[in-house]
Amino acid sequence: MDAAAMAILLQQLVNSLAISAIIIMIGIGITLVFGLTGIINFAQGELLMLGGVATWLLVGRAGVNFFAALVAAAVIVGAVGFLLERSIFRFTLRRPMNGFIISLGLSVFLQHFVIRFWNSYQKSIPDPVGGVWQVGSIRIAAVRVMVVAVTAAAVGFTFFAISRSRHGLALRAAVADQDTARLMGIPVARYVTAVFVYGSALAGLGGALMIALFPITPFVGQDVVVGGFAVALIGGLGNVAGAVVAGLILGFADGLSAGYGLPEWTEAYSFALMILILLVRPQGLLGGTEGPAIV
Amino acid sequence: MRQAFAAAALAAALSAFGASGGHAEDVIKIGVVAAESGSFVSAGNTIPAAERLATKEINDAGGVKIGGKTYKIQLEVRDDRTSIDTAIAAARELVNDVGVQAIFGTESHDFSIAMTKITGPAKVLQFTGNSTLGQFLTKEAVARGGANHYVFQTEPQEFQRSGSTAKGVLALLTPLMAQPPKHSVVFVANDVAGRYLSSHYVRALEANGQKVDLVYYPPDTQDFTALLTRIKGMKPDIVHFWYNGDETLVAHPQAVQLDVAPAYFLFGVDPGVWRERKLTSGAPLTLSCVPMCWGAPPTKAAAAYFDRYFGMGATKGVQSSVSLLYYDYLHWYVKALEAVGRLDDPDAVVDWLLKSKYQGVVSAAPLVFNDRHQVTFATEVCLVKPNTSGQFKCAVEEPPAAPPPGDPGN
Amino acid sequence: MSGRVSGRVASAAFLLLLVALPWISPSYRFLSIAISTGTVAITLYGLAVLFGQAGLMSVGHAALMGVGAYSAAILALRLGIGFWGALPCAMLTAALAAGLIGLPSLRVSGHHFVIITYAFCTLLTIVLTNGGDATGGASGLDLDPVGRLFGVNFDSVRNYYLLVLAALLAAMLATDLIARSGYGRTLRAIRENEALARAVGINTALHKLGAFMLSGAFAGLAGVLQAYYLRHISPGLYGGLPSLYIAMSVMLGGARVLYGPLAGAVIVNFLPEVLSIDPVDSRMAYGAGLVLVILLLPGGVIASLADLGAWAAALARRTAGRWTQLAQGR
Repeated sequence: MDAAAMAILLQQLVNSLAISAIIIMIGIGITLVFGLTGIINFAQGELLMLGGVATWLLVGRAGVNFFAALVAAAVIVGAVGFLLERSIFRFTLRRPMNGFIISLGLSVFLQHFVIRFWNSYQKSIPDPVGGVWQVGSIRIAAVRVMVVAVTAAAVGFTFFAISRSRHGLALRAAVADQDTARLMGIPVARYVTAVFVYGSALAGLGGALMIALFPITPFVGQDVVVGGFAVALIGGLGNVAGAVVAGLILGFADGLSAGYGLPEWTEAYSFALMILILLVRPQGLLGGTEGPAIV
Repeated sequence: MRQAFAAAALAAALSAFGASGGHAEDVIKIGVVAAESGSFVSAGNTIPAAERLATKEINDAGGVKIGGKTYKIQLEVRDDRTSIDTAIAAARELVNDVGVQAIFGTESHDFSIAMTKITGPAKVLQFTGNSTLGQFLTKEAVARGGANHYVFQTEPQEFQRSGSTAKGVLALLTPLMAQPPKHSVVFVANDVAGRYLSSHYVRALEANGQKVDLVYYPPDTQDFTALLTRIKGMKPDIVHFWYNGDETLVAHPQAVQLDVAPAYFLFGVDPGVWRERKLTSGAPLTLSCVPMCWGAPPTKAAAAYFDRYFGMGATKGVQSSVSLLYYDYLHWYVKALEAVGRLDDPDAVVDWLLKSKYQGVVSAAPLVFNDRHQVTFATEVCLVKPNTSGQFKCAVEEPPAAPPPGDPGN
Repeated sequence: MSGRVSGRVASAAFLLLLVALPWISPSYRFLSIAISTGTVAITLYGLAVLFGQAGLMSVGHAALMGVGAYSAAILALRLGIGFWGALPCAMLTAALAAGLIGLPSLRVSGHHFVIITYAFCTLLTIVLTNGGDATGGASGLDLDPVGRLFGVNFDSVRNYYLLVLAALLAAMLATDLIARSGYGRTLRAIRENEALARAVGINTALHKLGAFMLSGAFAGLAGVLQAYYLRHISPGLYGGLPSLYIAMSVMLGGARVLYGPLAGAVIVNFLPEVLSIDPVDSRMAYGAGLVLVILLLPGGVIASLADLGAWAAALARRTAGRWTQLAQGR
């Protein structure tokens, strides 16, 4: 491989990190909510979209600084997640299939709610960081570095919270066996709420990062959520580390297939990868849960 | 309140159920089918807005004189709600219930094709924009008795638009480049219009001496960097973004970040949009419009038209200039009705349209239909002065007379 | 009159009204919307078998309609096989496509299945778009009119409506027969307790796959009817969004009652058109409505209406009884 081809390959790897970041942000929420409740939350994509629209309103309309808007988007969407869990999803815990169906309805509702108030056109904000660095022959947009850094921080915090803190231990116990966890005095219902809020906040954060990268439409959640599902399945449902690994793999696979495969088949490659992993390792790469026993 | 709603709902249901009657003697009903709600409203608003403007002008000027009688045009606009089922129901309604003379629309290839199956047998004229129709408008299909005898394409043959665009883009960009461009990459959405348009544009660039690579991107892509990096590896002199203005405006900044090529061309991005969004480019950049730019109208007539069009409250969007086509065709069609002198002879109207010339706004030379129900007109291409968002140098390029080698000429 | 008999009379009257509809001179617009609603409803009956009986949810049924539609169009184009020959073939190919999706995903879990069905929509769109001449590419394929059979011209909108109606009634009948049969019982046993079903010797994987393939055949039928009505099909018709609406419709109407899927199709496809409700508003309403239906009326709208009817009948009987008592007391 000559130097120019090598530079292109490195450029592809750098590019793919940003898209991996977005998929991971949505995938963690999907996989955590599934692990604890067995609900496949289809509306996770719309939560991401809401985060993007909130950022657009704050930055574009109210003139708020992007990083303040980033935090606000996570808080706002986290609050939406809290409302949704308290008013809707907690009633579906005994029948996760109902939770899934409700999430379909929510997803359609949220899309058209946003269209009703802020139309269906593309929404964008100015590049919040600006600038492109030239490293050798590789071009790195500063905004992409910011996106990857924020995601890495969020993922690091999530790992720390899950593996090191007392709450994380209790959460893992609840994912593994809800009934026993309950018997041991772990307030499982409260953890369900917390996981919904946390997953939503990550999606909101992901939405804010996404609109920093590209313009979005109210339908963007539909495109992203498939990636989130793929990440959750490939990594193993309920497995956060698996979601992160799968997000990186999927991002690289996307970048490499677009870069070296037949471009018109780009979207099909990640699907093929998903099927392949399902055939070879049905439990996902790092192993997952079948959802709580009450299913 | 609830009763009022129920009554309104019942009335609406009944009106949908029964054929709308009331045949006023002195109106000519013209149908429009376009997306006014649903997910793709930005594309749809242009057709109804243009036809409302044309209708107002025709009616204000006294109406349509046929056989010593004066008719007003009654526009029947139906929203297809961005759904093919609705578009089909609307076409059925306009053709069979309302009894329109002609239908203008839609802007969507699939909807238009499916609608021709309804308008054709009923001998209702259908004027529709998409140049992708070219593949269906064969000589046999448009002949009398053929399936598409009553269908007219409001855009020119694609080899013509591609030819004039390629020539204009290369002519404007070459003086600004360090070396004359030799290698072009066409970057286009992998959908019906993208496939059709790019197949002709590639030939047109080749006919102008370019070595061309064609790269498709999946529709609704957000992150174009992987494909753009691949294109960068091809070392192109110019990257040509076709055809969807909205997606192009997402992709182009990413190309600039990656420094993919020394020069770019963005099809269908109006200089007006470039100016309103305060966009700039360091690299030499050209824009083109279908067919003339509202942000830089090349003629007085076009400038006056866009003033009237936006004066009616129409949105300033990527697609606004397309409205011009529909505006001209309604005027032309009304002339045909007046010349034929009767409302019950669509075949005579078709014959007259094929024989006539019409001096519209869209073209300096009069419009003429060819033997496949398509017209010919020029394309406007504009160069953006580097690092400005409001300074353009525009040229109106005439189309080539014959298709380039390898182009089937549809 | 007992509730059961009055229910039968009501449904007979309703079906009669559907059959008689073309003769009470509705507008073409009305018939056209009725035809699109009817084709969707047929798919919904297929989904009702899958979800209502076997308890599996698919968000890929529009794609299965697409498989049926493209099978018909390709058969016509390549082999000159018209509408009537295409019907059984398309049902078969749609069922086979369902088998192909179900095979890797159903052996894992219902969750994997849901996600894979949704991903299938995207994949199908890509395959059809890149299929070149075989699938007509992004531009799609044209179809000739249905033509005549037994002297009936199915090119007229009225006759096509009757054709769709006949297919819809067949789909309803088939759904009802499946639900009443031993096969339906088996599927319900899997739905209620898969481990138990397996323990008593039911091959659950096979039956789940079978139910999905069966439901795919319904979608294939609907796809052919839709394709021959539009007479032009393209990849965009069969993506993820239409599939989502199909899944929502069946839940709104209710998957386990005979008129549930039809009600779902009418609520989602027919009413907003006929009442000219803004599509954005109507979609907000379905979204919110679906949430409320699942939370408050988990059986769907029709089952709840039936419950309401039964409750009202019981109330009426009680009141009547009390009046009789009162009268006798005097």
